Formats: sequence, C-alpha cells, structure tokens
Amino acid sequence: MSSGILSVGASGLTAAYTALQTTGHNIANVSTPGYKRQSVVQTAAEPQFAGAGFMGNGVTVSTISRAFSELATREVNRATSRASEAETQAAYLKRLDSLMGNADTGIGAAIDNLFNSAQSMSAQPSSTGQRQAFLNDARNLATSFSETVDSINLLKDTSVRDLTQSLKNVNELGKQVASLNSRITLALASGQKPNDLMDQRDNMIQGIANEISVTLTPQGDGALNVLVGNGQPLVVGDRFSTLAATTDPNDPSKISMIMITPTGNVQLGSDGSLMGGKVAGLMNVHNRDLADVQAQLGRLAIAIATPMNAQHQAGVDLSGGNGSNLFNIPAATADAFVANTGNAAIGITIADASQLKASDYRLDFDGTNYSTTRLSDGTVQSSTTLPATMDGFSLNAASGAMNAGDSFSLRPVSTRANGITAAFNDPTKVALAQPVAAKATLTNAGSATVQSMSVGTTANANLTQPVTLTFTAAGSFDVAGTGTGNLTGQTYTPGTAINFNGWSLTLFGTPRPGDTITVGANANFAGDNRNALSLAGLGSARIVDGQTPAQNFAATLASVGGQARAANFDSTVQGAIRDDAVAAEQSVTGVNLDEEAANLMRYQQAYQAAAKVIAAAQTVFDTLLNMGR
Amino acid sequence: MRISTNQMYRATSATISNKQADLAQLQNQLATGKRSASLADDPAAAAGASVLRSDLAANSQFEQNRQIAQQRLSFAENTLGSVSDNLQTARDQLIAAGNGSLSDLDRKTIAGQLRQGLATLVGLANSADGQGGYLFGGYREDTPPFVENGAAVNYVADDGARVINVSSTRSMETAFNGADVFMRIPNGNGLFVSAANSANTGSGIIDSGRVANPAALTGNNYEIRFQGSGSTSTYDVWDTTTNTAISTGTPFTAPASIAVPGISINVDGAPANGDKFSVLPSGNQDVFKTLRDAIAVLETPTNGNVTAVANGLRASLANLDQALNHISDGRGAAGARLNELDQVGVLGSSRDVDLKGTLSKLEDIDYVKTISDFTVTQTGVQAALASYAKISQTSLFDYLR
Repeated sequence: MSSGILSVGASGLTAAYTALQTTGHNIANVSTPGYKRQSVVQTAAEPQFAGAGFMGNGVTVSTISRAFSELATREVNRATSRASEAETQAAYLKRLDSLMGNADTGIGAAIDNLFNSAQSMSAQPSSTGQRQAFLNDARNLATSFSETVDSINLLKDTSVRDLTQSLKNVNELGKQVASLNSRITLALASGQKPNDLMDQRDNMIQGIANEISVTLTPQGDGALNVLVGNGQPLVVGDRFSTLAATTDPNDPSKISMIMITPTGNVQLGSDGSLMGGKVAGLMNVHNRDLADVQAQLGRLAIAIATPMNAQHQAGVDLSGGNGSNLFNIPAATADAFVANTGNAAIGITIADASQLKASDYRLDFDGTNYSTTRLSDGTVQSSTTLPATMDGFSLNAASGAMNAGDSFSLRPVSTRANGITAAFNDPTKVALAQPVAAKATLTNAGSATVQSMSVGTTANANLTQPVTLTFTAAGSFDVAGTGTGNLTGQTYTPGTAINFNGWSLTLFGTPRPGDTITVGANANFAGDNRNALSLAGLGSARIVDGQTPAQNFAATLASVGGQARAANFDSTVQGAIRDDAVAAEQSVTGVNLDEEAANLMRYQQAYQAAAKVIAAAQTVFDTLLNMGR
Repeated sequence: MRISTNQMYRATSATISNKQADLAQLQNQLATGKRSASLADDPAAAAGASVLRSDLAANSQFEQNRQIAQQRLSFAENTLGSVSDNLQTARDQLIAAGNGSLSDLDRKTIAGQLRQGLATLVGLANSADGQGGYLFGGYREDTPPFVENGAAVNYVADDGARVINVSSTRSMETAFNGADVFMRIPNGNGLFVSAANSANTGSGIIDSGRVANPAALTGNNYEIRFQGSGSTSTYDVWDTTTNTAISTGTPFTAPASIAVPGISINVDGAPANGDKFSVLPSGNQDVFKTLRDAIAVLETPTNGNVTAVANGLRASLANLDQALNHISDGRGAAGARLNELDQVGVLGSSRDVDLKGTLSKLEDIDYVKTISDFTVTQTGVQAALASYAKISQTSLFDYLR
C-alpha cells in the first residue's frame, strides 16, 4: 500500500520534473529560429483493480509534443517564397531606377545635345568649332548609351552571382534536409517524435523556401520529400540533387537552370516565374526586366543612328566628298537552338529603323512556313520563303538551310546599344552640304526663285545630272536632262515640291515664259547648310516607332519607374502577407515568456505537491514501522 | 489569439523601421527640394520632366540660332543702306551731269567720280558676313561673289538661301541672293525701256514713256523711225517682233506724243532723217552695268552735240531709279524679317518661362506640405518608440518573487 503511494508520488514528481525541464527548454529556446514550443502530454497511469474499485496509479508522460500546424507552416513557406521573389525584384529594379534616373548626365541629355549642336552647325556650317562640337556630342551619345548598357550588364552579372549563391544555399540546405530525413526516420523507430530534429528540418526547408518555392510530400517513414520550383525533386528521402545556373543553350543572353540528378542533367528552362523565391526574382530580373530595358535602349540607339547615318551619307562634306557613316552600329545576333538539325546561319539586317520594336524574336521553321514570333507580345508573322521582313528588320539565310523543327533566337536590337561608336573625328568630313544645287538664270524676267531643296536618302545615279526647267507659262514648265524623262507641260505651283532624280526642289514666285531654272552638281560646300538642317530635323521627327527620340526615352524612363514602383508595391504587399503568415504560425508555435513563467509556477507547485505526497508516504511507512514496537 | 514573445518584438521593431524610413525620405525631400528621389516615386512626372527638359534645351538652342540670324540680317540691312546711299550719290552726280552748260572735261570729271562710286559699290556687294563668308554670296565662302573682268561685273556665287531654324516651327532665310539684289534689276520703267539708236545724228530726245492702256501692251519690240527733217519730219512706228507697221508717215512736230500700242511716249528735239528710237520690253540689267553705261556716256566726246548725253543720262537715271527701288525693297524685306525675329524671340522667352514653371510643378516640393508631413511622421516615430519601451518593460517575471 505505501509503496503504491510512493510510486504515485514518484510518478507525479517525475512528471512535474519533466514538465519543468520542458518549460525550461522552451524558455531557453525562446529566440531559436524555427523552434516550435514543446509541451508535456500526461496521461493517467493504468489503474489497478482493487476490489472496491479501480485504484489510480499515478501519471505517466506519454510524449512530449511539438506545437505544429501544417497549414500555418505551409502558408509561411509559400508567403516566404513570394515575398523574397518580390523583394529581390524590387531591390534590383531600384538599382536600375537610380542608374537610369540621373537627369543631368544621362542619355536624355546626350540626345538633346546632339540635335542642338546639329542646329548650331546649321546656323554656322563653315565653323570648324561647331563641327567639332557636333562630333564630340556624337561621341558622347555613343558613350552614354554604352555606359548605361554596361552598367545594366554589371547588374546582370551581379544577379547571376546572386543566383549562383542562392542555388548554393539551396543545395547545401537540401543536403542537410536529406541527412535529417534519415536521422528522423531512424529516430522515429523508437516510437517517439524527434521534436528538435524536426524543428531543424522545418527551418532548413523554410530557408529553401526563401530561395525557391517548395512543395512537401511526406514519405510515410517520416522523411519529407522536397519538390522545388515547378515540381522538381530536390530531396527524396535521404537522396538529394543539386541545382545550377547555366547560359541558356538556345539563347546566350539568357540564364537557365539545370538540375543535376544521379541519372543526368535535367534542363529546367529560363522562365523564372516557374521557380518562385529569390531564384525567380533573380532570373526574371536577368532574363526579362534588365533585358527589356537593354532592348529599349538598343532600339532607341539604332533608331537614332541609322537615319543619321543615311542622312549624313546623302550629304557632302567640305571637300565635296560624300558623307560616310556618322556611327558604327554593331551587327545583330541570331543563334541556332541546340536541337537544330539543319545547318543554316541566319543574318539580320535593318530595313527600316523607324519600325523596330523593343523585343527579341524567335524564328521557327516547320517544313513549309518560316514563322517569326515577337517575344514581347507573342505576335507571329509567317512567310514561305526567306528573306522575310518583320518590324523593320529582315532575316535571310546567310548560308545553309533550315530543317523542319529548327528554331533560332533573334536579337535585332537587344545587345547592340553598347557597341555603337562615333565613326570619325575629322570636322571637315561632316557632310552638311548637298551634292546638288538649283539656280535661277540671271536673265529671268520673272520672280521665280529657289526656296528650298532636299535630297532623299536613297541613292539615285542621276542625282547630279544637269537638269533645266524651262517655263512656258506662269503655271507650267518643261523639264530636260538625263533621268528626268524630258517631260513637258508640268504644272508649276509656288511652294509645291518638284521631284526628279532623287532631289526635291521648292520654288517660290511667278516665272515669265522663257525663264529657266537649272539644277546641277553643287560646287560651293562651305556655306551650304541644307544637309545640316536635315540632320537637325531628325531630332524632332518621329523616328522611333512613332515617337521622337526625346519622347521615346521619356517613355523608357516611365516604364522603368513604373516597374520599380509596381515592384515596390508588390514587395510591400507580399511582405505584409508573409508577416501575417508568420504571425499566424507564431501564435500556434511560438514561445510566450509570460505563459512559460506561469507554467513554471504551475509545475513548480505540482513538484512541491508531489514531493509532499512522497513525504506523506514516508510518514505512513514510519507509522507502520512504529506500530510493531 | 496567442502572441509569442518573438512576434511582439518583431512586429513593433518592423513598425519603427518603417516609420524611420518614411522620416528619412521626407528629410531627403526637404534637403534637396525635389519631390522624387527616384523614377519609381512618380513615373509619369519623371517622363514628363524628361520631355520638358528636352524642350527647354531646344528652346535655348533656337535663341542662339535667332541671334545668329539677327546678326546676319542686321549686317545685310546695314550694307543695303550703304548701297542705297552710294546709289543716291551716283544719282545726284548724274543729275548734275545733265546740266547743258558743262564741257566734255566737266563730264569726264563726273565720270571719274562715278568710277570711284562703282568701285565702292563692288566692294559693298562683296561685303563679308562676319562668319567667314560673304553677305551676298549664297553658299560660296572661298571667293567673293562679284568679280570684275574688264568690261563687266559677274556674279560667280550661287542662289543659296542660308535657311536657319529660328523656332521649332519657323525657318528663316538669312541670306540675300546677290544675283537678286544686284543683277536682276528691271530696266527702263519696269515694263518697257526706250533708247535712242547710237547712230542717230539728230537732236531727238526720247523720254521713258508711260503706260497708256495696260490691256493693249503686247510685250513686242517696237521701233520709231524718222524720215525727213524740220517741217517735213515724219515717223513710222514698226513692230519689229512681227515686222508689221503700226503707223506710218505720221507728221512730227516736237514735242510729240508717239502712239505705240498701250504706251504713250514723247520725243522732243529735232530727229534727223534715218534716226531710230527703240521701245523694248524690260529685261534684267545689273546695277554695275547701269553705272558703267552712264560712265561711258559721260566719257564719250560729244563734238558739240549733247543729244546722246541727254538720251543716255535719261536712260541711266531711269535704270538707277529702278535699282534704288530694288535696294529699298530689299532693305524692307530685311527689316521685316528682323521684326519677325523679335516677335519669335518674345514668344521664345515666354515659352521658356512656361516650361520652367511646369517643370517646377512636376519636380519641386511644396515646402509647406512637406514640412507638415515631416512633423506628423516625426510624432509617429516618437509614439512608436515610447510604446515599444513601455511594452518591453512588462513581464510576468517582474511580478514573481
């Protein structure tokens, strides 16, 4: 009997002690990340039948349980992935924002300076100083483009380094989860849950969720299989695979992920959105956001440089020589997909720079049709033969041929802005004059005079052929000269352009019958500013897909700012969602020191009370012993 | 709902950080005076500001262009003024030379003065434009536009108009075509020119004539042929273009008004038998030739008969008047363009002010609002800090023995 009380008291003591230790463990681990508070589960011991009824036998501690909510933890993982994706993107877009937003020294100011110094040149065409200033501004424009794009490339490099580091973390954590899986499986064989090991595993998994989105599937024996991204198995039981980032084999400007498994490498693609977490943020920033801005800048650079080159070539310089290119524009790139079976090499040339779009493209051949897809919005254009033209550029098979199923990745604008350079530095070679000039004959009795003349940018072999316009009446004339077709009876209206041989002449005033206007090669280049006026005029012309250069650059700024702003909002929202999820989980699993303090008091009293029970058992035993004397 | 200890600390410290970040941003705005520290703060404003800055730069570029245009046009106007003075002096000299009591020597002296005036005129026509070229030289800058070669002055430059963009919507010609100003001057009275044949021996003097009936003008060449002399003097009027006679055998008593279709022209004096006078439609004659002709008339010995001098001087005066009118028109055109430049300049200045105002609205902060936001946020930070201090001090452990 007394031994019954003793063992009951002892069981109570043990239980209270275990509870005290568990409470102490909770208090000690209040700041441990991923710690889920533990509590003692007590059950009454098996009762004993003793005639008058069932006698209680004290208490046993059946298990130490961990406060765990699978729903809350899953929510935290999901919210962590989303929040870190948004935060990563916001951080990079913020750096892009401050790169582009510097008003005084950026591309916008360089564009203004270029066209304004062209205006100055047009007012003083023979001034060497103005010509030199213009060439300097051309060089500055090329430099500001290349510096900006280089800085964006540096950001891209940083994102690749961050991605590599991130994947290293994932791989390391995955390895640890795999080893914890095997230890937990082993520990579960004892019949009790290894709470602290499971806390560690959950912590590792949350760390993985920060880098890439995770899905967990329990494996029956206590192991958790970790699937990452769009369902790729990172950890299966105690085995793990690793992730790595490589250059996309089909498009060298993009990053893609591969999973290295014991059976070989699996290509996971370059679409970051499938991945989630920091990895998604970094891949999207690299492959989409930064690439987008580079495409816009590349398109702007080419849309300015190409017509400037063409207009400059239409003019003549101080010695009468034809203008050369003002800017050197690097070539566009096209890459074959690795799975291609044909041996084609695709070349890209610019047909009309004013129609270029800021996008990359893909060319597919299905045996009959060549389809070109604009990747920014999915628009497709098909033709049955090459060369084909789309959005201002034309494709041709420079060599070889495509087989059915072959594809190419095309970059007509993306990677070209940082290769543009100013082509020459000699101010006498700036072509401000035009190769032809018109003159009213001295003996003309009427008042018809030359108002303006312009030369088209398409070469015409008869441009400088002498042409005579002879007026037969105040409103009509005959034209004679090679290339004109020697037409008669042409209508003359003051102010309306007369076009032959590639030039366009506007006359003013009233001619008398017999008056003549002659057009021929220009001999006076120093004071001739007509091509300078044309060059300056490009600044306010809609040469960039329907916008002026200044408008287009402003649109790029708005787009960068808008994306950064949206990313900031997203980051704030996802951060708030994550905070809420964490709070919800913490309310189930977190340690509250005041609660633990109360528990300490409770279990302390229970311990004292159980000790008193043992003391009472001892008194009973003593009384029994003293009865026999 | 349970709050774990960690959650309490995490939530309050996050709030404090956010408030401090807000405060830092307001501080930055106050220090720089600019609303947006980055494009993300207001993308539309950033884009708008970029375009405005571009417009402002273009606007001040056009102001520079206007100054250059103004220089060129002022130069041209002044030079044309000097040309006008020069021609006026020549005119006075021609009128003085018409005095019948002068001797050949006197006339030769005047001719010498005219020669000097002509040389000055050529110099004026070849004026530099202050920028390395010539005012009246079109696009040619290496050699002067007017070249004397013995008997004539030739224009060797081109018709370049030297257009300059003086605003985003207006281009202006800043050159005066030398050929237009000095070479394409109508002779006679602008419609027709009369002259005495150089072989005339009589003393008939023909005047410049006037239009009697504009509808009857044919533009053909006419010749008035005199026969006989004294009281038997008659004249025929021939249309030499169609080779038909308009009138024949009309008796002539000086002064007589001769009827040429659409024209009324007077002949005075005593034409000899066989004298001819021509009435031709006006063509272009350069002002240098006009002066040269006058010099030639004054330098030819008269042998007592001053008729040729009278006819020649009358013709030269008519041409010189045409030239003076022509130059005056040119000055007027220059003046008009300068006026327009001024107006465009005024518009440009007010546009500058407008653009700057709009840019300021987009970019600059409203100090009053920002300062009050700053004060409110500052109070928020203080409140958050104070409440954090209070919460972190309360713990059950304080109350347990």
